[in-house]
Amino acid sequence: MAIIEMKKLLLIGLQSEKQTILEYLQRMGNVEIVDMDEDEEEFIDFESSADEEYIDTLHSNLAETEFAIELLTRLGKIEKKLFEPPTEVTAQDLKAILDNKDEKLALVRECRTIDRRLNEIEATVVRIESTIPQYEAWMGLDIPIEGIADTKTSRVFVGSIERNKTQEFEDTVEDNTELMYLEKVGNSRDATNYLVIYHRSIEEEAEAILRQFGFINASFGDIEGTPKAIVKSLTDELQAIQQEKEEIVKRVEELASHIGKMQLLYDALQVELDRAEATFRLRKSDKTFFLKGWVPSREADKLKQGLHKVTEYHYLEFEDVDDGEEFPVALDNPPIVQPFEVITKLYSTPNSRELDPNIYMAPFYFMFFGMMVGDAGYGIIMAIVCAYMTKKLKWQGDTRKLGLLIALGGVSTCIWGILFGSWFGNVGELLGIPPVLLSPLDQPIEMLILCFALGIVHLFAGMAVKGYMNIKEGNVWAAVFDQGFWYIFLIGLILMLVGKGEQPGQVGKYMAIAGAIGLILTQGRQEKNIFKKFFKGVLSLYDVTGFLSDVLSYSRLFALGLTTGIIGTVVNEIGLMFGKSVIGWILAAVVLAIGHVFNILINSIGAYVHASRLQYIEFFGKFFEGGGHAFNPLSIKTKYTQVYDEEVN
Amino acid sequence: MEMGQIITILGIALSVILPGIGSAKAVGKAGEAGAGIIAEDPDKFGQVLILQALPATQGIYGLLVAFIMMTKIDMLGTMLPIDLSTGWQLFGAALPIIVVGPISAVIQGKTVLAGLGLIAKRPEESGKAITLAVMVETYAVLALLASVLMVNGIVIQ
Repeated sequence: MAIIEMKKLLLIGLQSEKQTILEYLQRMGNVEIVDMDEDEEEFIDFESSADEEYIDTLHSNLAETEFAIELLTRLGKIEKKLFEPPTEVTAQDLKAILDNKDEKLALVRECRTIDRRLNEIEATVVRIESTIPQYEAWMGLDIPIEGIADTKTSRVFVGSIERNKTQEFEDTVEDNTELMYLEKVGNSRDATNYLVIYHRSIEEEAEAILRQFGFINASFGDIEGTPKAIVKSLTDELQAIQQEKEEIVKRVEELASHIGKMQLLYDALQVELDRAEATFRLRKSDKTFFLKGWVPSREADKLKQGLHKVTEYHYLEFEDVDDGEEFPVALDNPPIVQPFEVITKLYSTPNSRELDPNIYMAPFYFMFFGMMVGDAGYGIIMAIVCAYMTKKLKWQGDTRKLGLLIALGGVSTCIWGILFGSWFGNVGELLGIPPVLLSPLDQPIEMLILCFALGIVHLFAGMAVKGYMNIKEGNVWAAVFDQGFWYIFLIGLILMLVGKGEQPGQVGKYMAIAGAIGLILTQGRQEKNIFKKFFKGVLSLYDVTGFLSDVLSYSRLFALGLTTGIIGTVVNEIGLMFGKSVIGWILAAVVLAIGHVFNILINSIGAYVHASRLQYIEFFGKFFEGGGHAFNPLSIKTKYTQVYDEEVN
Repeated sequence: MEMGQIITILGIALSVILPGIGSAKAVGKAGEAGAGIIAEDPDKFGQVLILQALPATQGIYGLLVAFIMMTKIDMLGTMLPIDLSTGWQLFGAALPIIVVGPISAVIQGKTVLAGLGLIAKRPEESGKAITLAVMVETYAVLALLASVLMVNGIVIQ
């Protein structure tokens, strides 16, 4: 229920057995290997034991595999099932994948080739498709292009003029000379193309006409054959290439059926790489390697026995943590509290000297989240959907925690919904289900008081944790001065406010005065100068404004709860407006479904962030330091598959 | 139609219009920046989405106040007669969200942009980016609460 104790570990083993030992450590997943670079006098002469070449190979294999998976997912028409749990494999199977990895890597590399070829094809298709129309405009020309050349007596060439001048051009040529021959060979979008032949004797005259009509000479470069033949060969090429593409796509689909294997390969490579990279942190001599790390104290014995089973030839030494030495932080909380760890983790990992705040924070987060959504119907849906998905999709790690957190939030939401009489917006009201506690909108003042009261409890709990930490560290007086006096002072003020001159009020007045005097006398205790002591003491009373603003901050519990209820009501009213005919009712059902789902989403995000904020600012501000380093053992971390290990579990 | 009713409807309309504009502006900007981050790393979509959604709430708060006012004057049924003074009272009650809503949305949008920058560089710190933006949200929540309580407290003769 707290931060797990750690032990330092030193392991010396044989180089030849390094692989086996590391594999064992990775499977157990309970040793964080630390870098021996830093101020390790005794090992400074030893080299890092990493095989960098091998690591580079793994890196590039991994990148290739990732690329292949991405390509196959993109092109392979893989039906992506939204709600499908990941494949389960055993650690042995995952390792066995690498035994014949070359064969699988060949598939992976084929994907790379395929991608390159597809890109080429794409470019060629674009090129051909833009070239074909150029030649189609000359289809009527039935002499090969390379045959268009001047003869001894005449000039022969091709070219085009603007389309709207065609008729006039032909007429002019016919009227003026008989020694010029025109043949219309085709059209492009806005020009007409001609084969022109004229006798050299009328060169000037012919050129003048051509100029008059803006004739543009055409040239085709090195290409050979008649335009018709060229178009045909291009079309054939296009067809061939399209066919190739189809075959490639078929091949991709075939390969796509191996995507599972590639995902396994990816994970296997990743695991291998993690282990290989860990060796950067080891040192080696000729025959041995040294490993330093952290292991949870309670697993030390298990590790010792386990290693003995792996090999006899090793030296293992455990050492306790020195006083005040930082160590990696792993948390141990009961299952019901574990989901809340994600919230704390987002803020900061606790450091190794302080208390794990999760168990204190969890009940408040649970309560506040529910209050801010505050609808029984929504709560039931959230709880069931999230719990089901977490179980069905076999979420792990933080995702699992988040899923369970929202599911728990759903339970809390349902409870508050019942207390406030809110069922899917105003449905409860319409059906006559009364609120068990109060109706926030009808009794806003009572609701606000409830929020502030919960806030005060939350803040006092935060102070209590700080006090407990002080006492645990042996600063009993700090707990009395910094927390005890504040309690007396604040409770006194609250009693004065509530009691208003009656007896509790009177008691409150004296408590507040006593608390204030205590604070004035003690809060400046670190100062040496007597005046400074006094001033600091007086100034500390000013912190009461901070407390006030902290308390007011809890009004968000009311406001956000209100949002859910009112949006839900609006959705219902819109739905009811439609519900006047059969089609209307269908529309209404759609509106209701979309509207309520939207409302759940937007408000659970709101509740999530605001409940977090109340912990971070108001609660953690009282005692939590954070800044710890999370325990990060060498373990099997996979992306696509889930590893099940009989020996470990 | 009485003057009081007109003023009330003006209040209702403004409490939807202005916070809505503010939120749209902020969410839009955040979305633009977010798209850039997602282009680099699609896995950050979840974090970006939460941050982008934060300044969306002011628009919702505006709608909320509008809806409470509509219920108050029974606008969805037969609208109650409202005298000039009550009309102004209702308008005044809507002012907190009309003024604070859009401004806080735009300012929160800027904090969100900065937070997105933080996520782009250090995705593990998204909790902090969210907290920074939520700090701004507080004032919109307070404005909403003030408006709701005031509207609730006004008595229509």
